[in-house]
Amino acid sequence: MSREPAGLDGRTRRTFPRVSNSVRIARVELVRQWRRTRDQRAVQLVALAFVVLFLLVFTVAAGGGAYFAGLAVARGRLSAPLTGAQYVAATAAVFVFFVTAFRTLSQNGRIDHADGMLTTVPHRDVVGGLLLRESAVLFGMAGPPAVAAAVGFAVGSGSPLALVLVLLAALDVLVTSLLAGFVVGLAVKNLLARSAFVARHRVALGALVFLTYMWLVVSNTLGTVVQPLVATFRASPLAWEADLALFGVVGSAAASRAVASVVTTFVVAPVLVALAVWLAGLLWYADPAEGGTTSTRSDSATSGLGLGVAGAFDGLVARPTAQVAVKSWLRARRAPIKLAFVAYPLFVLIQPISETVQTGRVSPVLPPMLAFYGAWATGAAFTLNPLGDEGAVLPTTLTTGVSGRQFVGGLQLAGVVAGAPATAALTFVAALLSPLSLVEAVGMTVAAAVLCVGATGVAVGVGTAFPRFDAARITRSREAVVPSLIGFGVYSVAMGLVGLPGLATQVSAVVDALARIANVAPAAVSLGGIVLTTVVLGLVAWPSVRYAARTFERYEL
Amino acid sequence: MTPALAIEATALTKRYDDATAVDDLDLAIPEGTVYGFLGPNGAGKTTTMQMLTTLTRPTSGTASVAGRPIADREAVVPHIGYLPEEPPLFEELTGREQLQYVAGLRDLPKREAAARIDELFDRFDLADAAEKRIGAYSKGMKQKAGIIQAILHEPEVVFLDEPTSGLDPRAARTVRETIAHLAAEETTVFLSTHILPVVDELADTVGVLSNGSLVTEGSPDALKRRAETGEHRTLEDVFLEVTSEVDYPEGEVA
Repeated sequence: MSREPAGLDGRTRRTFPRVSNSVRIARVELVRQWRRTRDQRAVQLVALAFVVLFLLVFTVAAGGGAYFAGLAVARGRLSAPLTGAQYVAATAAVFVFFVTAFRTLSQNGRIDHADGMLTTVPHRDVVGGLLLRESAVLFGMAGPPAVAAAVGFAVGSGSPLALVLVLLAALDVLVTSLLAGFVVGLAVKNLLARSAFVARHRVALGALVFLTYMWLVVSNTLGTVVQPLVATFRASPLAWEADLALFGVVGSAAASRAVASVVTTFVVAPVLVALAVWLAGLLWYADPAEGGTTSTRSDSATSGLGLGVAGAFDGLVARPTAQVAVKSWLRARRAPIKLAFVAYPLFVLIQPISETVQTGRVSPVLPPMLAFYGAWATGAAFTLNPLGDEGAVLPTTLTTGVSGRQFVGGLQLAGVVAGAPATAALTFVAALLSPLSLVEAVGMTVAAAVLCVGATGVAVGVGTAFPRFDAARITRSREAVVPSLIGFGVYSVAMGLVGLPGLATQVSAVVDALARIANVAPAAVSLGGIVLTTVVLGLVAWPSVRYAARTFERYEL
Repeated sequence: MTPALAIEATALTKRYDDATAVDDLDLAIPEGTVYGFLGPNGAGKTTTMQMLTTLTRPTSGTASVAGRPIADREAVVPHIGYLPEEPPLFEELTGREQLQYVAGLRDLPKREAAARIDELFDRFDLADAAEKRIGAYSKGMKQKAGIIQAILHEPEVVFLDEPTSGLDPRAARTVRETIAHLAAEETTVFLSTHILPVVDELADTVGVLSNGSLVTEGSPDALKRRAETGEHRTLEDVFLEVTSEVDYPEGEVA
């Protein structure tokens, strides 16, 4: 198929998606998404139930809030109702804009089986389908609160007309910001696809963006970035939506601006759709930039390094064990996306790091948090999906005669050798900088190292019991086999329970309280906590490792 | 004296819930044979191979491979090589790293393994790609790497699932020559494929599986001869005839 002419050159028939095809595509995409969700394990359905519950609460809150706002407006008790409505509209617009842009950038700016789709329908129809799907998801989420708000406001203000006008204004805001987010997402995706520099340094750049974002969050400066955006939206024609929503209820709402807001949407929306069609055409028919995922360059240097690393274990562990560890490292280094999930729970560190940044002093909870997170990550990285991680190679692995103990040991080795020193070092440095004493710092460092070793043992059993074989979509339409959600949950809870005594007894306040209650020296409490965690960890990890090894040896496809 | 059997199966059966994948299968394959295992999609060929390679436990029946019972994985696996339909390779590793990994798992002597990997890379014309990542390999290159991996440790019995599918003529010839070479060295090859000329050329014995049961077995020439009429048929005619009356129930498992 040749590239479609795009832009508003008068040939609107060839610029815009065909509605029937777009609807067809969107419907199939939604059905697929629903069936995928439905076929997931119970945990995903529970997560879905939480979303629905949250939505219900939000809907009730929106309706109630709008009712009281309507009441206040009708009685003239709000000083600047237009400004307030503008803030609501601007916040919703910024939110929808960013969420849509991110979703487009990460996965929804493409369609599955693009080759088949693009040789079946013009690409503009695919764009239409994707936009309709996004709209359906958005209206599914934002629709009920918007309707509740409209009803609430109409009842509160006693103006039936407000029901229609608020809904119309909400529709304007949602459609415009969704289209804008989609266009910006596609534009950024185009930049990424066309820049060799970006393609080559994607991982580093992604980490930079993530760290910047985290920095804005922990240093409490995210607001200063978002506020100008909200202000910009308020200064745009979008602010006229407030006049539309409040027309007839608030005297200062101008009919001219209300009409203008609707006209603006009718003008802007087609332009944005045309832009999306044009950008999607550029993106989907583009040659990928060099240095992308399928590297064709020779890896002899790294292969030599890999062998060198394998040699480091010579005489220490059996050769199959060393090979398993080296294989895990090589795969992780070549495809770091596989380990992205390890960063998910980093948010537990936000609070202590943010406190540290804002006060300039290391918070005493940071070292135990670091130790715990480091141990969790050490176990999760290579050992939380031992069978699924092998992917298509599993039949071969099972029939090489490698023993379960060797296989499991190799995975543990991969995690411990990388994770334990790093975790212990980070914990020690943080503890030294914190108000904790040297004894406490050393105790916590030991606890961190022990936790790391034990974590791999706990993880390998949990991961064997709850394997996951199918690839999950991570980001940027990249797929990787990640541990199952149940595995994640069980492992995290187990680690939390096991690690609690060892880590909690490193914090002075806890130690003092316990020492007073038990009438022993504080140092004894700290030591006792570490011993208790170590013993419990051993009691959990040992059978877990044995179970994993035995299951591997008896595993059937 | 009859030669020892490389693969022997008695009443091998595999059921999944209500679907029967393999039904009462008997096999007696002498050492050094190239056994062509034919059958329509979903006939149970892959399930049979998974049972014989210890990867799936039969619901009932017994089998032994290289003289070891398939219930004893540890005893069987050193003597077999298996290439599943999807080559079992890590895309992130280079070809050499992948083979070194499997050689390490099998604990093959390092120096000899390295030499054999080089030799096989040369034979399969993959030497130039040895340091490239498997993710960048073509389908044929992956298939060749998978075959090398299956025969690296010089097993007594090799199970190949569709080894020539998707290969260009040159690569397909290399695979056929390799099978012939293995047979000449008295290796038993259990070859599952849809490509009938390959079976016709290489197989000593052909077995046709249909709906989980062996419906015919014999040498390609014997199967092609029609006793009643003396008319000469192709292997394709035989295949179509013996598998024609089968209705596939829903939920049939491959």
